[in-house]
Amino acid sequence: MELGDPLSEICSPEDLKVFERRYNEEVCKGPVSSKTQFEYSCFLVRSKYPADIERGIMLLEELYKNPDETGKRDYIYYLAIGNARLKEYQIALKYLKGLLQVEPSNRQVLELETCIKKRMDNEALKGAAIAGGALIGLGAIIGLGVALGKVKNGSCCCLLVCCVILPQQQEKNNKYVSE
Amino acid sequence: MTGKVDMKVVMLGQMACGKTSLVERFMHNHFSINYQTTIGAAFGARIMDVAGKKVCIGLWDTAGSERYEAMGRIYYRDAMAAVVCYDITQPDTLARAKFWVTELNKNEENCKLYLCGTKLDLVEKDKEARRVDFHDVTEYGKEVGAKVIETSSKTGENVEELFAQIVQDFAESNAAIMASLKDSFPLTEDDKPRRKCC
Repeated sequence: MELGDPLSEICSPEDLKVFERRYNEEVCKGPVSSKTQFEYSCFLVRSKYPADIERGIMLLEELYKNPDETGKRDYIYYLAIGNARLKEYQIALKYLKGLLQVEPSNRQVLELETCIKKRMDNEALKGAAIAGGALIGLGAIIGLGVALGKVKNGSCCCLLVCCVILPQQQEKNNKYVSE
Repeated sequence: MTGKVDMKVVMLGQMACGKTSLVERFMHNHFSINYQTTIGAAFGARIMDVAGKKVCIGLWDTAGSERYEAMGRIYYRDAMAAVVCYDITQPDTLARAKFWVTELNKNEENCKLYLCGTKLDLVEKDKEARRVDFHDVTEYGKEVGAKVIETSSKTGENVEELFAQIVQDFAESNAAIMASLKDSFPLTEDDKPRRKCC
């Protein structure tokens, strides 16, 4: 298991397989015990494959819906981890909010919440950067179009030389040097 | 916390024997009277100075509830030290601690063991409250190669001492790792780039 925040903790495929085998063995025999199902889903939600995480969430929801279950806070915590790892941040935060209503000072829950919010901020920033980059690119093309439209033939050639011919020439020169 | 952990330490023991409180005192110098069961395992890190070096300890505080029993092994794997806790006012917690000691001795040869009796403050208040004899545990500790210490997370007694001992032992038996770590007090003179004379 890697060290770090609760979301980047990844389980090894070998560990996952151990618990998967146990789960499958119980499935063959009859109803699966909630302990086995919980162990298996804990590893699934920390797998690196989204399909595993989805399966883990499904199994946890199944446990959570069972009225006889006692460890619901544990299920909710791992449901939050699974959803956050699938980038379903709003759902994850809703689960954590529920936990905090019962235990407002739970350090693990608070840490997970901070961690999710940090990821959301980072992704928002990344999104803004991509949008910003696209906007600059678009602006440059429009700007070039406007410039080309306005200027007369002579200066247009000048621009062409700067943008297209000169770099080509440079490339040729480089070729000569390398040869 | 990101960054490199030099030494992995795992906390094990029966539910409600005081693992999280011990970590809370060590990490944040704080004690909370509210009891909250740990979910899975919580990770924390602290840098300690030992033998003139900075050692980053990564602590895995595992959940003691039975629900997580099978996952214990995932958490203690490759640990350099294990703090196996028991409550000195609850004899059944010692039985659980012995289970972990056996398991660790079987699976993790390189993991140093520390048996930690918790809730010492309860015994200081009322001598009758003690249900686990210190000398019995020490004898058991000798048999299995574990050091024994009694702590109180409420008052902070022996908590720093426990972890100081753990890093000290780590430093003594891992000279190669210690040599690669940063000095506690960087030598500023040597850090300056020397100007070459042409």
